[in-house]
Amino acid sequence: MSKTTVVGASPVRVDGLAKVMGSAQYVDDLDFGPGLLHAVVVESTQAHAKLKKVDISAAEKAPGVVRVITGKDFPFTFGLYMHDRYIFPQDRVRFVGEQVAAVIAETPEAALRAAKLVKVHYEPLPAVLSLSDALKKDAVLLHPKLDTYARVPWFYPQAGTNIAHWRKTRKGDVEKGFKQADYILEDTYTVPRYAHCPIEPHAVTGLYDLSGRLTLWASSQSPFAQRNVMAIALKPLGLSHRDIRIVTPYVGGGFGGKAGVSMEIIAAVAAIAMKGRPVKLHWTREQEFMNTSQRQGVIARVKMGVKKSGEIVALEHTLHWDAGASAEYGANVVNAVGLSATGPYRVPNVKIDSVCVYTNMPPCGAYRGFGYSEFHFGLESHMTRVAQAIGMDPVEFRRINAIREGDTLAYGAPMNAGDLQGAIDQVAKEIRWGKPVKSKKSNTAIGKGLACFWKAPAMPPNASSAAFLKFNEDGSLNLTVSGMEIGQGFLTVMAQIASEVLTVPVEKIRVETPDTDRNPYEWQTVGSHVTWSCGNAVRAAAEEVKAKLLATVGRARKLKVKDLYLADECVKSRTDATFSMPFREFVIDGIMQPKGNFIGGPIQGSGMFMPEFTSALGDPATSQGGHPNVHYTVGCAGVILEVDKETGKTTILKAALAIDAGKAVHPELVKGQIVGGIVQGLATALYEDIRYAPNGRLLNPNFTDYKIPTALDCPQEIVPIILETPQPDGPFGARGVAEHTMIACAPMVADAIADAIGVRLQTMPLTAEKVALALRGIDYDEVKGDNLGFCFRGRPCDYSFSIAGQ
Amino acid sequence: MKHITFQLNGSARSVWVGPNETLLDVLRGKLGIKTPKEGCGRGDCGACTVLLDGKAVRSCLILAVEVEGQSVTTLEGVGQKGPTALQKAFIENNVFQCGFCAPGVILAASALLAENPKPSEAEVREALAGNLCRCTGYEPIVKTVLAVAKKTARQSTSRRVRS
Amino acid sequence: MKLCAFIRPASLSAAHENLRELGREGMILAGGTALHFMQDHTPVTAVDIMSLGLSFIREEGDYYNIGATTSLADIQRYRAPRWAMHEICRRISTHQIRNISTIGGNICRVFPWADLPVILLAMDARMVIYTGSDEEEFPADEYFKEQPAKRFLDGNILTSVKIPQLKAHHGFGSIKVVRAEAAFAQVTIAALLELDGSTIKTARVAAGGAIPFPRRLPSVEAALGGQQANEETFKEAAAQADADVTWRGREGMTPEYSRHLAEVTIYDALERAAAFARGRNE
Repeated sequence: MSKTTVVGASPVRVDGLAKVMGSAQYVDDLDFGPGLLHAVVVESTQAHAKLKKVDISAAEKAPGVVRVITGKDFPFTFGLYMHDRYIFPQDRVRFVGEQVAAVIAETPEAALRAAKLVKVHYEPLPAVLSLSDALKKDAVLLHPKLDTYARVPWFYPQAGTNIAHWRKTRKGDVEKGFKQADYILEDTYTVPRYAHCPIEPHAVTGLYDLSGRLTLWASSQSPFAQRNVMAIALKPLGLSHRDIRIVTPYVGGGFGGKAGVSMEIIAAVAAIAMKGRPVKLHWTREQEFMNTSQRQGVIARVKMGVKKSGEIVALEHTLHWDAGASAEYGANVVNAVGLSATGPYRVPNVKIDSVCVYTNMPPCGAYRGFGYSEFHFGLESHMTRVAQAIGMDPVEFRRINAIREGDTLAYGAPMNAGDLQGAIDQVAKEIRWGKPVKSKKSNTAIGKGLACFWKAPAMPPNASSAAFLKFNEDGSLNLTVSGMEIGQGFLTVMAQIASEVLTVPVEKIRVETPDTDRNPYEWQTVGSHVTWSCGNAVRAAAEEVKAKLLATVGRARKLKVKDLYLADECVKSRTDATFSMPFREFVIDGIMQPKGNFIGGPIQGSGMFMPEFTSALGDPATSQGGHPNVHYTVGCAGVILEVDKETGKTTILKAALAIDAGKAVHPELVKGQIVGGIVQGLATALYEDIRYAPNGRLLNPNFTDYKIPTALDCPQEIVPIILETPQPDGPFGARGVAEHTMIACAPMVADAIADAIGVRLQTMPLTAEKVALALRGIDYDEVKGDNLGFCFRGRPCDYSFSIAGQ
Repeated sequence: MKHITFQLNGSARSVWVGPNETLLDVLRGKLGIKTPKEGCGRGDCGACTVLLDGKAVRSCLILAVEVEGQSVTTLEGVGQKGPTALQKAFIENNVFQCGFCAPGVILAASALLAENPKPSEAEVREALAGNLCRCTGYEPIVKTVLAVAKKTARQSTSRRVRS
Repeated sequence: MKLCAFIRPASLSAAHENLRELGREGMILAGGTALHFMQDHTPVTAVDIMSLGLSFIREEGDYYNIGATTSLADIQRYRAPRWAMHEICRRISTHQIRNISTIGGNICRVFPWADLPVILLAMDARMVIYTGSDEEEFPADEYFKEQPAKRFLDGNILTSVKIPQLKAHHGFGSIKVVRAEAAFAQVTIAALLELDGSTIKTARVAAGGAIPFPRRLPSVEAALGGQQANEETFKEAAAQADADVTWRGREGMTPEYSRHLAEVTIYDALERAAAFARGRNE
């Protein structure tokens, strides 16, 4: 890699001034004038019921109401990967909180009042509120028409069951592998659902104007994916991509929850119903919890066989996911894990079954980590236990098995570059692994834990990015891209990449949030892939601009292009040190010739990127033969914590995380991802919990009862460590890091708690309660009752699933 | 409806409000003040923080009628003469990510430093515990507030020495 | 509730008159409100008592007299010898709430998770209620016997809370245990020990959080009276709490954990009270 000056520095964020001065606008800050209408949805009170009648007559007559819409008006399905989500339910409701109708009124209060007047007649169906209920023989089906839903070819729904997708990965011979093993450990780990909790709830304003153009101003991670999903779903109404425009101002946090399409399509049809007037749909915090998407829960069975020498010889990993009422996005989480559930280890014999199961719970989807946090909890806990069982140091065990460049992945493709060994070394050193710390207090104990992680972007094989660059008269640049600034600093990083190629300082490059009519294509801002993917597109656009700068000057001044180069916002010459053409003198107006004519003209460029080597066409029975993942980012994290043996409360003393970013384009932003990800990850590990009533109603859809960390809930010290093994096809060697930073949190905490007090917790979250009860010999699963956890009732470790054909 | 007058970012403003309208709704809906954000509507998240007579409060838990005769400051009023030292430091240190919590955090931190120019880390964390941020892990926010306090203390000391 | 009107009376007697006339349709506003997002739509008139001069903390004889509209932030900031109220105030909600939430607003209606009633019960505080012509004082045991709502019929207004000044032979400790820092209490315990040398003369111990209504723990108190103030006594006393109450699950916790946590916390609060008597006052 050549030396860089802007890439690798940490300039001030391009959106910093706007956000700190208060001028950054979010969707709800946009004004639409007095004509604005407000939509409020009527929510299902039933987890599963036939929809007999939706009586809107009283609501329609209520003061201020202009229209009430239901599934009769818009009988369409939609979805990102599979069309199993309904704009409004047709014959049945599938979760408490599902939108049954929408009331559109002149004021939010009028809409809210009228929504209470909509009478919904239900005929209750047995609700499927646990995985065992969903998977038992003759289970009640949520989607009897499952086999008719349009879907991507790499999803394998099982008609006549509640299984939306089943990803099978087979490598080597797992039975033979277990026969070679000196030691085998098999156990179950449970991870409940979690909520994203961006501080900005979902909000959309839609306008279907009199010319038939539908514009949505949305808080979104995926403007182009939303346009595409809506164009497909609303095609029966005569809409196509050219008629739909998504404008996305700043987004107040996403974490995956604003990827794909959820409530946005309700705003779209409400706008269509009220042609000519803008309609706003603003989710309450309660709706943000209940009816966008949640992180899927999972029960994971891990069976690992090892040699005395410490080599893993076989791994069987079976994961059953609680996807909720629709799996249009969640099934891809399941898919991603089905390909990657070996973790960052070389395993010769692999059998992975990742099964996506419908339940009558709120739908799930993408959440920072995309299934990897969930499966790493079990896998990494298991790694430590296996190591201890064969008398080996858990860190040494990880070193022995850590994956290396060129190793064959579970699906047969080769592993990319990444310094996992280096990450382990640095974290082990940082937490002084192997040196026990004794607590100074009699009622507390100190423990250490370390866990490795990896993650690949989960994308369709043709997910792509594009970028446009144009110069202004003063030599400044406008860069348009459609990756979303969701806080991670994407816009700044793109400006840095353009700056590096073109020598124009970052502060002279304006990059703003997208508008699908004006900005070039981007698949979605998910999977921690935009630095890599869109970064490549920006670099290509910048290279095109650079070529035009050189060519224009070469042609106008009759110089050889190969002698010219860019420096300090000028075209300079290697053969003539005195030659310098500042960009601002010619990038719009061209270069005057002796006769008074001009050569050149506005200089602009475009670039795009698609990973042309990927393919999702592996064998459905083994996943061999395709190349579904572009690359993995690897890393390691460690923790030192203190457990109060009386209250069970865990205090994080220190956390360290090392990640191989390939090239940290903006190290300060990478560190920001590490610190933010660790705090978010530790909260899921220690106390965040979604609680459901036995009837499927969410009990704590607010920040009073679902606790996310405050400034007082942070580790005493966090040490971010960046490694840089270049990604050959990344912009300046970069690959993504954002989601990865929370993946190792739960297993490292579980390990450290076990290290401190000898209690091994296999069910997240690892609460003070579970610790304290375990220390007193009380079986938490025995006493927890029915309304405390979520849909995993009974004792998770006793779980067995009666699925045919496994 | 009731006609109320109060100081908003240094100028007197009058507005008709209903008895059950919150200060947040009136600021955003009737007065064009958009920096207090609605993140939860029930006093949990702190995104709607404003200063009421200099004290950080949640504008979703205050009725507009209550502020009659009082002084309300929002982020719009803080940077009227250019960014404050605290705002400059927040920008330079790349503190915020999505930025949705930023107005509330900046106001809460400003109120803290006005009352307690030399806070300890624990005091900073306590003062900001009412402002939820899902992105940053709080560390850059807390470090920056402490750094600004330290710098301001140093400057005021050196001024005293000179005079 | 739906707020339909707002009045700001100029005097305490005017406020009393307003509230008396409004009856069930009157609602005192004492610093911020959550009424506007509550489900019940009964129309009410808000009577704002924030400008009646009820925001103060005064030393009066053997008491600290705290005005009913004194904000929790002001109580948290206040310092005096052997003052102990700030310890709990800094743990109630967050700074922005404490800036508007008042001691009176906090105890006029008692929620299961409320912390202040627990403290006031242990401290043997007295609530002062203005009746239009007179002021009546209620000891905490009487005031917190049940929901205090009935004391505010006929326009009666809570005007102040009198906290006994702790002496050198007093030990006081309060502990609030939470799931995460800004959460409601899982368990809150407060303990007041009156000591004679190292012997406990009397004890007042109160609990809240994992029980339906805050209350004192007489069996714990009985196990402390006349005993030496030491670890063994505290352990023994803490184990008696089950005789007084049945702990409930809260915040997703099991009753088993609530019970255990309460016992641990009673012990910790007693330790803290003993340390206070030895001069700790953070």
